[in-house]
Amino acid sequence: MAPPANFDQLYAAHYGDLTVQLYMYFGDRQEAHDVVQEAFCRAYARWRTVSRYEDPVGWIRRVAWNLALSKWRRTRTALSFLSRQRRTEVRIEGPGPERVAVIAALATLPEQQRRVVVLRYMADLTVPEIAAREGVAEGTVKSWLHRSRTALAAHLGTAEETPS
Amino acid sequence: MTDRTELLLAEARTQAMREVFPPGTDQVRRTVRRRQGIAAGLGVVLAIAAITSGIALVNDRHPATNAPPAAPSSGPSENLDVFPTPDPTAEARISAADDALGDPDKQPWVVATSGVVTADYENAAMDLAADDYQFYLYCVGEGTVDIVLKDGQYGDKKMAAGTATCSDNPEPAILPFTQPAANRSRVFLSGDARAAEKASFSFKIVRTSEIVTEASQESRTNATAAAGLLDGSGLPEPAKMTTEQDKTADVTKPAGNYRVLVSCYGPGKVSFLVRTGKTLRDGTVATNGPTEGTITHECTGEGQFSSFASVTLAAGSGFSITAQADSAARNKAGWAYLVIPG
Repeated sequence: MAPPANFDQLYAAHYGDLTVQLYMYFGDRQEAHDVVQEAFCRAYARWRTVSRYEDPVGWIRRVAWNLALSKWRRTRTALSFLSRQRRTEVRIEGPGPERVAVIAALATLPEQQRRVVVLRYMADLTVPEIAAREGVAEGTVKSWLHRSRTALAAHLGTAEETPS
Repeated sequence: MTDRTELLLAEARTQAMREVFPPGTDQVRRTVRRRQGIAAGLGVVLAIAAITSGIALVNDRHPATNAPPAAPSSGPSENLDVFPTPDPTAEARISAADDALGDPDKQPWVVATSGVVTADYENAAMDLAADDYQFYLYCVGEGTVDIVLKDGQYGDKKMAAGTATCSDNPEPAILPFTQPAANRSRVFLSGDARAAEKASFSFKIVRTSEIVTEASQESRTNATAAAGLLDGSGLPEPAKMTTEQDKTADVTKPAGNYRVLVSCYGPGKVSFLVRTGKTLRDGTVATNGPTEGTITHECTGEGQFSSFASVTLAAGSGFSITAQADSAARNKAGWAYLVIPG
């Protein structure tokens, strides 16, 4: 049975967002591409079920993040579909210094704090959504975000603008 | 969050979005079809095995069509996860390569990854700021891995190259390099016949300015010996210091007159600078106060100690004692200090 047509729409609408989220987390665009494409493959393989979920994108995002933190990422190197496709990749300009600074600043955060910053500011999840996803209290998420913001501002040289 | 920080995050997101080129749903479909073909082939093999051994297999891969959708799993289902599962040796090597990276809380890295060594691995998408870095490659297993680092997503601007030797307890191949401008960098790893598809690697890129050197056992031992030179009856225990990097010790005391004793032990020279300064809110001592004395010790195997003249400390002030080791003393000699009334 062919999968519902809106798999393509969902892919078109969310592949980029999810890739950027994982890219900001890893600091490595290629890893992010691999993980997100794999998550969509797993969604497509069971699309009849996934498409009936209330939040299919949430399922795909969860799979992508789980993959990102799993041994799949470590073992995928020899299997990377991107490495096989690289020669046809569109040429793009290098990153601007400000983006490099942002990624470098994110990389200095502990993993959990980095993850909540990405989920909050790259995935636009609310604090209650992040708390539910991470299985912690909302206050814990707020605390992580506060510490992360302070550290990011210090690294990016924007701390002096913090409102009193 | 400050408006500026939020703005930088938003701009980074927008810019990165422009660079994402999805491989496409056709690629998804091809991948899934290929895996289902493999899974079906495996199913036939398993079915034959079951029939011949008299064991009934329960196939739960096709739930009842009318069943309500299951709650989203917190993890990916493994039904179609037909990537090769590493054998125990490969699994252990991957874990060992991961462990070799160390604790990022103790030694921060800019980016790190790990995987299975291949004959032609390329990681083409790491963004680096203009700075000096060191590239660490660990290879667990047998054989060797050639390493080439290039600046930019395309072209042939080589920044560093070298070879790592694989072993069960790998020493890292360390390649210093300079990223001339903020750009994408590429890492090429080529395993030889003994390493490819068998060994595992991990690498990390560390800013040179953030490299943390562990104190050596020799320096720790010599710090204890240096402290022994200051031991005296009724005196507090001296503080022991190692020389893997230049260090400044802060000592806060009530107002009064004090003597500062310093000693060193081991090879090379250590220069000491004693200053007084205001005690800051975080408990450290300001380093822009007056210099109370400087001295350079030839440490030697006999050790050397000095006593700075009595210094009057004002209320709310403290001492900062800075020690700078020369190259012969670096991470070999040890030093100690003591502040006593007098």
